Amino acid sequence: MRRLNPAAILMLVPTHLLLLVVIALPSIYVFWLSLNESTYGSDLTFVGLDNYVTVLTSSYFWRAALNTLIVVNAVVYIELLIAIGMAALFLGGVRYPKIMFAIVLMPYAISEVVGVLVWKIMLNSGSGVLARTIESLGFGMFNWSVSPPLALSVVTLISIWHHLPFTFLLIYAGMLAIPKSLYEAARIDGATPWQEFWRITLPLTIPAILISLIFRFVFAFRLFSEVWLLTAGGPARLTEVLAVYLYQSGFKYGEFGTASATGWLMVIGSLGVASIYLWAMHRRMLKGND
Amino acid sequence: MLRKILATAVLLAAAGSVSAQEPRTLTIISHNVHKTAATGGDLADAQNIAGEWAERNNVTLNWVTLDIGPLHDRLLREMSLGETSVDLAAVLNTRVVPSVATLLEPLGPHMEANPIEDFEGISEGLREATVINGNVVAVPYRHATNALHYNETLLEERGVAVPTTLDELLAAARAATFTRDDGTRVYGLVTTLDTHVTALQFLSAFGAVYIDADLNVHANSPEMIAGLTELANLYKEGVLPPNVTALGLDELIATMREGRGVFAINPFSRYTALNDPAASLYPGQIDVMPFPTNDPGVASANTEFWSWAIPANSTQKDLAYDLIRELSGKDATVRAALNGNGPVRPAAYEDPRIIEKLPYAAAESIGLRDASVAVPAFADAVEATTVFIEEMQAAVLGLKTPEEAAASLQTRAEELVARSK
Amino acid sequence: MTDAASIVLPNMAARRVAGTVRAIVRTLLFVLIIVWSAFPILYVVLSSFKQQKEIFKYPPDIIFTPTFEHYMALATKWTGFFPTMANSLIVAVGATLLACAASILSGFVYSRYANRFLAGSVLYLIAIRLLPPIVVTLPLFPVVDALKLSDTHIVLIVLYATFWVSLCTMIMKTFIDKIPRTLDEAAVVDGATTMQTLFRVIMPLALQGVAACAIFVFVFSWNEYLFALIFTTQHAKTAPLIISEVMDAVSGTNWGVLFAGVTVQLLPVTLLVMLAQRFLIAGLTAGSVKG
Repeated sequence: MRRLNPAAILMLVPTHLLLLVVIALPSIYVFWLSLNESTYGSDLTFVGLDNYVTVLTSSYFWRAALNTLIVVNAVVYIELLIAIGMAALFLGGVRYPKIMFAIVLMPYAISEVVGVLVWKIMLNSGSGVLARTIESLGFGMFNWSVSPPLALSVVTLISIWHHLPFTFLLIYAGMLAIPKSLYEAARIDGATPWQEFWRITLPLTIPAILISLIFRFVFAFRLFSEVWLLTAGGPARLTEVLAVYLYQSGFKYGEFGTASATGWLMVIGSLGVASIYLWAMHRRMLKGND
Repeated sequence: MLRKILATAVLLAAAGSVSAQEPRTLTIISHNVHKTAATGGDLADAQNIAGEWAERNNVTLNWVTLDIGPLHDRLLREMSLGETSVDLAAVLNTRVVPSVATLLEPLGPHMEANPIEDFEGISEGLREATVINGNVVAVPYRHATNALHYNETLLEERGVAVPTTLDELLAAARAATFTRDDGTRVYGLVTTLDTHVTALQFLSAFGAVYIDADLNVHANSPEMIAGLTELANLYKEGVLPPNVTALGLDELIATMREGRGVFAINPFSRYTALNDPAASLYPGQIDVMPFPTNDPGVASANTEFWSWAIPANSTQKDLAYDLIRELSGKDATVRAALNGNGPVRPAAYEDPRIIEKLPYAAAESIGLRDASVAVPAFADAVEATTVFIEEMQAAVLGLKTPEEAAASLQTRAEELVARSK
Repeated sequence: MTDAASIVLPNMAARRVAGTVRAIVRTLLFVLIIVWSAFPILYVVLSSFKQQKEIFKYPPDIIFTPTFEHYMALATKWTGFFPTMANSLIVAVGATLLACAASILSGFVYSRYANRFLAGSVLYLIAIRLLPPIVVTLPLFPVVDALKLSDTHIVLIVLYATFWVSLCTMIMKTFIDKIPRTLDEAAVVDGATTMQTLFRVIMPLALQGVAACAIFVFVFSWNEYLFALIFTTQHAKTAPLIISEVMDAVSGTNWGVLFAGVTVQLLPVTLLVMLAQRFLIAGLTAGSVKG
């Protein structure tokens, strides 16, 4: 472990300059906005913590927070399990690797909006190809859009479908980077593939798993398109998630104070859900990883 | 290969920036339908009204087209700047609330100096709705008035007569609901309940008004409760599709085109899409009529309309106004209607060119005559529509009784109105 | 002898059976993965070749006479589509290069140097990404306009690259962590500068990480909608904006054209992914040689 020298500091500049100018400074301004009342073309009026009070006393905010919490946790953990399994499967050898790889990554390659719309078409009650197949199998009408739990399950399903390639790619690349020699040594010791997975593959993929968990929490927390395009938060605002609440209350009505306050509350919320993993990552950094 | 693509890309980008260096460029931001209305787009018999004007005035039109939500979002951001490159914009009536109107150029002085031909010929209800705080801030250009579409073939198949009153319509919708042998369900009435406009169209046939032009809230009226009750019953009986609260415009169009819906609430101009021979299984068989009430001969018609407006921070207001004048003329209105526009001048419907081209001209002129704006533009109008959608959906799905929903809607809407006064 | 054989033989047979079962299970799992990933995509691609009337037919036709009318319409009626794809390409390539370059540099530092400041700044790298981007557009829009950067490729390149440098830095760090330090120490002994060590010794061994980063940034930039909507009008307008216009809230979505556009948009990304796959494997072999 070397001490930071000027050359190393210089190498950090591009990344930190980009983040500072594009995100950090605007974020500070957004915090200032959250303490003010403003709309398109208006001046700022300082209102202190009023916007936070408005948001935190809104029952719609809390319902959205609860929906977000449920969906985000379901999405992130289910996705992680599937991704680990898939990566291990791929690690054991793939036929036609290029084509398989392209197929697996396709859901990620298609734009989110289009992906959600296609699922919506396929799941449309009474007309969609999947909905009618489910119906013809004798399960009754698959009328997810008027049932909040079912609608949120569909949101979870589509979100996993769209983002699984992200998690898979990170974890698969992590597994690929494990030196072959470790497996050879294990095989000489007579380890079964199952033991290899638990003793070599999984432990050495932990850094990649941590990163994918943290960033999936970050991205999933602002989940928007899935809900907006499927139910628009309905029926009767029962399926709203935080990003939809932010859009509804902040942008649709042009109330930037509320929007900014909701944005900062979402920062706190996502820090909360990802805190264990952030802490773990921080510890690894301090220890110097190995 | 990649290098070639990149080189081509750079060339294309360069070509784009050269053509933008014309001396006078007028930037218009609108939906694609307005561009088509004003230029004819790629129609075979295109009426290029804006193009002719541009040529006469040596102006290049830089037309930026966006969908409804993005269009207003972008426009509002542009209008918040010190100076914008957007000179002319198409705006939806519900979005021109007072705070937005202050960012628009008052058109009164322009109109005095350079009047629009027969301005009084534009539908009065629409003209009045564009006067905000005493200023004309926009000129109506395109209306979308709601009507009742019906599949004639399916009605005949079910032996149901075309209704003439609201009660007949409700009975007909029930009688026309059935399941085909292959399991396909056919719904008597299809409407989009993810928006306030079509729901208010249905309710207004019962005489229900949500918020009137003077900002009085009538949500808790017997008419509103009767309408909501009927809507909830239709849902319970399966006359409305089971996913009606999440049913968007695309699903409505698909449902009607595929013969899975008999009656539909949607604007008159939807006629073309529903009867499109390339996409519809019932081309030419889906007719349209003004939405009936129980007063024979009296229609109820909710309308939404688009107007042209000039951002107050534009640098070419006179030029932009001149184009508005051109587009709003009597003949230009008829020609735009031939391009598929919903003409805001009732007189346009009597033009022989229109009668020949639009099968629904007569019906729509009645609709426009009786039209009123669904929700007036006040400070919290957008929020008022959200609140309405929420309570209406709760009543339809049975989460609340119609009475509870109406009472709650009344309280919440009154709060919004009070806040904006 | 016989004893030993009788013990070994059933064991081998059992192993062979287990091997066959495993092979079958693996094949089934792969089939499941293909169906799950490809079904909705296949629905889009097939529909793009169907007549409008056939698209929503139930049960859907698997075999049909393909039509190219939607692709023709895309080229003739949505004339903006193909030129905006060129913009998308410039922006996506630019953002990918910028994000990867910045992340390789910073990832290397985060891997090879350690102190409290660096450990803390990792948390900052992540925390800064927590604010929903839509609210960040509020202050950015007037600033970009004042800098006269509105409607340029540069603004999108910088924005998209910034959204990914946090994650890509972490990815590069993880991959560089796996490369033995003895290698760069040896290079330093040989008189290499830090930069030379990074690009000659480290980089070839961290290609998997670069491939993963490149895929993430490119795919995101290629499909991004919100920022493209807010920061471009004409010269830098990207393809997703045209796609969103096809999904039209006034006259209804033109499904055939939409599906054709999406299919065309999928092609370059698919090619890139297949190209990147080679680097993932290449990194693997390089790693095993030195390991």
